[in-house]
Amino acid sequence: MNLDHNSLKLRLLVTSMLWVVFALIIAWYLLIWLFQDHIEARFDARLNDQVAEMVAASESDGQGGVRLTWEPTDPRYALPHSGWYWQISEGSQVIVASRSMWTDRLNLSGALPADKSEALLITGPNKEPLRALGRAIRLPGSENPLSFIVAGPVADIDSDVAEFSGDARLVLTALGMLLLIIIALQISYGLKPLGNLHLALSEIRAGKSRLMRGEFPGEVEPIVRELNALLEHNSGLLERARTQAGNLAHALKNPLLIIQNETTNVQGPRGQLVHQQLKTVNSIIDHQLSKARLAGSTNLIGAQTSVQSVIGDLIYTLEILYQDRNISLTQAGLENLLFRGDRQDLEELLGNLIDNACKWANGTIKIAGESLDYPDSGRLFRLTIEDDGPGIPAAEMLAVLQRGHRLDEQTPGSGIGLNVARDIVKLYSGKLDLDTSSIGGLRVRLILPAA
Amino acid sequence: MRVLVVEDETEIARQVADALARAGYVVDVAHDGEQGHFLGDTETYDVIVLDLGLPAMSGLTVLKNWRGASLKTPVLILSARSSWQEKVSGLRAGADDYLAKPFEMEELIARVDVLIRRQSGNAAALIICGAATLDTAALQITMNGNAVTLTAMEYRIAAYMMMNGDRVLSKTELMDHIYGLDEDKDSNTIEVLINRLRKKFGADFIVTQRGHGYRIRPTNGERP
Repeated sequence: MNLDHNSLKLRLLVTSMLWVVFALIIAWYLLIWLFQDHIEARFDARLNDQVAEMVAASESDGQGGVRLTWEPTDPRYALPHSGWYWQISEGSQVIVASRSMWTDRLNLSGALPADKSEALLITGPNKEPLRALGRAIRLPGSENPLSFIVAGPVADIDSDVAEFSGDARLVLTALGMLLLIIIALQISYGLKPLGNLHLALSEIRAGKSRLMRGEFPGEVEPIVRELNALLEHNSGLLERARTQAGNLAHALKNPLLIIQNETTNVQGPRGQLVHQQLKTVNSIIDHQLSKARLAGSTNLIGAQTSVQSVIGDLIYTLEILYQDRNISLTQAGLENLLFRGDRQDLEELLGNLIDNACKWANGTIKIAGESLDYPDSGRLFRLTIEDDGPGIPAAEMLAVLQRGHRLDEQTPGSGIGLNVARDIVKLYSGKLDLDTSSIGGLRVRLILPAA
Repeated sequence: MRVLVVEDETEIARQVADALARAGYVVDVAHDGEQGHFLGDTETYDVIVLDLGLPAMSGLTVLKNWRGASLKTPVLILSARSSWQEKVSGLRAGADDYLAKPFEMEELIARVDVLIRRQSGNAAALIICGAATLDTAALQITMNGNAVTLTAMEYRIAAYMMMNGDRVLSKTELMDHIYGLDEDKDSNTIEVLINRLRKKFGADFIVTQRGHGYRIRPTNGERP
């Protein structure tokens, strides 16, 4: 069983462990108490029997004395200070006593009852605690009542109880273990659907499945349903936004193209003004639409994109678009890099950056990736894109990230590429740095979340 | 050189067709995906300009169908969306170039020129066959440095033959590449045009390969 400190399994296990241990301790005390009660009753019954036996064995000798027709045969009454004693007395004078008493006397305070009675705790000749029973009986032919007293050691009861308590502890501990194992199994079985939930979620996160699949119990089913609805809603939202952005692009770009072509012949400052304005409109549309297409954090669940596959697609595309320039695009360290985000976003980001590198490069573009692991900021990866073009002077590097800013009006492009790239990186809380490459041109360094 | 323009926006289709015609191309226009697909499938073109946002059948589907049927004609994609996802899927589907709207017509013509030159294996902007030099940008053929005055039809056929310098070209192929859909085709005019070109460039400029067709005369030493 896989436990972390805040799992349901651990909570259930700890609480059941608490009550099982508590219940078993209570049971243990109860058992000991019952057992002791029982043992004491048995002990007392035995003392009683002994008294009755002695009464029966006593007879008056006719001169005020007492004679025992037989003595108790139990050898413990013969062993000195064995803890087992009997004594027959008249008033304060002991008439006869067991050999185990040696020269000592038993003293029971108060008047003794004539019938069966409760045992009393007294201190014996060896200062040992004793359980004693006494009866005052008037024998036929004697004047005064005789006191019959039998006593046995409390230690006997205690050792029985201690032995029982040891056994009980063993049995109850074993029972406790068994209960815990059964509870653990029960929790595992009961919470298994949650594990399935986890599994289904990780399938989605891994991009293997779009919705949560599988059978879930009634208690979990509503969550799964809501989650699936949310996932559907999210992807629907993104698809709709992208379709709308596409339709808007189509609806705006075509008239823009027509106007631009129809005004090509307008010469002079008016024509220039119209063209300048058209360019501005186009750059704004491009920028806003590229923003509208971004998925960003709206589609993080299940978003996982292979960096190598995206860069492979882009290299294929750019090698065709720039095939007359003979640019060599090399890649390294991209295997197993996974971007935690939407594929189209990554395509847009890297497309703009590598395209920019292609525009400026003399012949070489290097793309390298490496995964980074910072314990406090989660899994990240770094991508470096460098070219051997003219590069950008350090003072201008901040400015090129602004919208529509272009250092060179001659190279085709709307000048929003780097700016869009910066927006995307910001959306994913990544980092984009520009500096000078060791092969001469611009070096773009990206840090992005890894899946 | 024949170009097919598949574009649903009629105004844009007209502008593109006009610009291409001014650049010396024979242009056919299709206004939806199905018509475009049919024309590309059945007619012979040197370049196809294909818009992606088409009614009836999307540009991407049309392109995939053509490439599936091993049509090798270079295709230039036009698109209003200009997302990288679209560029990637367009080029993966077999396009040869991509142009985002809005574009300058000069840019479109330049790209179409590049595609045609690349297709015929001529990377340079000027194509030289012996004493004759073809400048596709200026729509001009010069002979020993002097411009030769040609009619539109004469230019079309001469330019096509110079671009395919090493091959023997049949009359049917020549007709396919110099006539638009709605132009009357007459195989006799090919003979007439060839004769006029021989008068302007010299009798041995074009060789007749009997039973097969015509070929620009191999330049001395360069070709057997």
